[in-house]
Amino acid sequence: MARLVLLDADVVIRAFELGIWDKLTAKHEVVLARSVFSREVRDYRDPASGRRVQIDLGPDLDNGRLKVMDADLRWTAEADNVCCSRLGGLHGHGELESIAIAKHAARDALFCTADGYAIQAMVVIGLREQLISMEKLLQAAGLSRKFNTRADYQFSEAKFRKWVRLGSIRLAETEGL
Amino acid sequence: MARPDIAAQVAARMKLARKELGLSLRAAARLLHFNNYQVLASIEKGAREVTTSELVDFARAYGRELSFFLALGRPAAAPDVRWRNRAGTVTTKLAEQRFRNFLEAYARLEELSGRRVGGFSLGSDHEVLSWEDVARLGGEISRQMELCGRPALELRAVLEEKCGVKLLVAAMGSAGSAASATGDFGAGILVNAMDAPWRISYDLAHELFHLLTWQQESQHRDAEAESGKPLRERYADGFASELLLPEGSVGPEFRGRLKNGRISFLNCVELARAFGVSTEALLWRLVRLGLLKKASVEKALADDNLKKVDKAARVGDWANHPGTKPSRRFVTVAFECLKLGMVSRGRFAELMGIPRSEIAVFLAEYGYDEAEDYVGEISAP
Repeated sequence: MARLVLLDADVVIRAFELGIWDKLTAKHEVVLARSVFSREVRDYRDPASGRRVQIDLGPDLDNGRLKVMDADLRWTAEADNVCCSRLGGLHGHGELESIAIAKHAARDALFCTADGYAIQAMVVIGLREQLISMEKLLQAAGLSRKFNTRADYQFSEAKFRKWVRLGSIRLAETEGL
Repeated sequence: MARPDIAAQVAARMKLARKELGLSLRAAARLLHFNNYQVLASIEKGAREVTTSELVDFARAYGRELSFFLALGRPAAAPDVRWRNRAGTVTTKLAEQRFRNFLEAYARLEELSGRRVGGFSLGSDHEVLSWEDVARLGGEISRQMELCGRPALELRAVLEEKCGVKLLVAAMGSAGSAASATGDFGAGILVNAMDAPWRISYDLAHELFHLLTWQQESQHRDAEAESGKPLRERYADGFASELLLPEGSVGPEFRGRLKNGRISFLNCVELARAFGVSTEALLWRLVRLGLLKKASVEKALADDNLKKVDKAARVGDWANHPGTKPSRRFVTVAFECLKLGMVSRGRFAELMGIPRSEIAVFLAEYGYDEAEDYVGEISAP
């Protein structure tokens, strides 16, 4: 059975660049945070032509291949508070809402992101088990491909693990706070 | 544990943010694309709770960070922003709020990347009580900044890289021409991207004067406003001329262009362009230096031929416009944080004013590559 996956904006954009978005949504039950859906996933750069191509997720939403979730204010406030106090950096709206949803509304979902801050935040919050790299996600969907271009590096399991390690260090540093 | 009163806090801060912008319920409802203002009224009363995504819409429309609505405790006091030709409209207040957000985010990025925060190396306690003080300060600051003979050409970079001034060039329409601010974040200058490049250089120098005399101006501000005499503004203009048109460079170049004791309009314009200032600013500086008579300059400035020559010659200067592209220093500091995982990609794109999909292309323009690990360092003794 397909597993619920919550995707960050970069993963969606990369899936379009790779031309695998339709296959991905066919293999997984895909969820996006409302902020990611409505503001962040706007376009991608076509690797062949170099042109920017608009992304329209409306049809996927209409035919049920994509779900959009809203985070309750309390969840977001809590995620904001934890990120600010335990990680300290600067986060975006989409990442924050996705983290809040992963924690409160989609505990059985995997959160796929290539964002170093979001990965660390998830680890610090104690949600490491819900994280997955894009490379692993594609493998799980039978969409295996070699992550050997420079653009792929951000989405690779190797880079993902580096961020998880860094998140674990930050967790150890902030434990007891 | 989530706080039970967060919805009430958010509602109250929405109202506060709207009122601080001077927006009526109806005007705010239009800005937020609500069909009627009653919806907004019920949100502000706490009768209708917003979702996170809706709150993001509010934050953007009101020029606030999300944390302004969500953070525990009282909102921090907003740093003082001082304007030159402030229009006082909602657009002005929005530009001011976004300037504050920029300064605070910039300082936070500096802190996260391990740089010194708030280091305005030129000091804000200079006293200027006369035109002689203006001239003295102009010379002193020019030496401290180690400006070249054509200061306008490097002013932006030196201010930011060497003096720790955070610069924001923003398209703000008729909101105002320029503003400055100091605070825990250091010192910052906001200039209008819709102004001509030579005007922007002048605005930077003008605002620098306000930063340098910030403490003194804080004491005299009320009296100044009451008397209605913009003496400090004239001092700031004088300082800008001193800084951008140093006597030691302008004098010899002016004399070199004289023919039979006269200088052509074209040469005036070319000299102004060479120094990166307006022709008017150059001519008044030459009066101040005793190289031209006031009456001759007034006559020249009223002459349509000078305006025509100036307009035609300036067309190419727009190519030197800084635009709204973030400065190299700001991008570098933010990129360091991105590499450290201390700023998210979504926030990075927002700070740089680019779509999420364009991060790699944007970074390449500055010579950076997110896929590079940038390992390796040299020990300093």
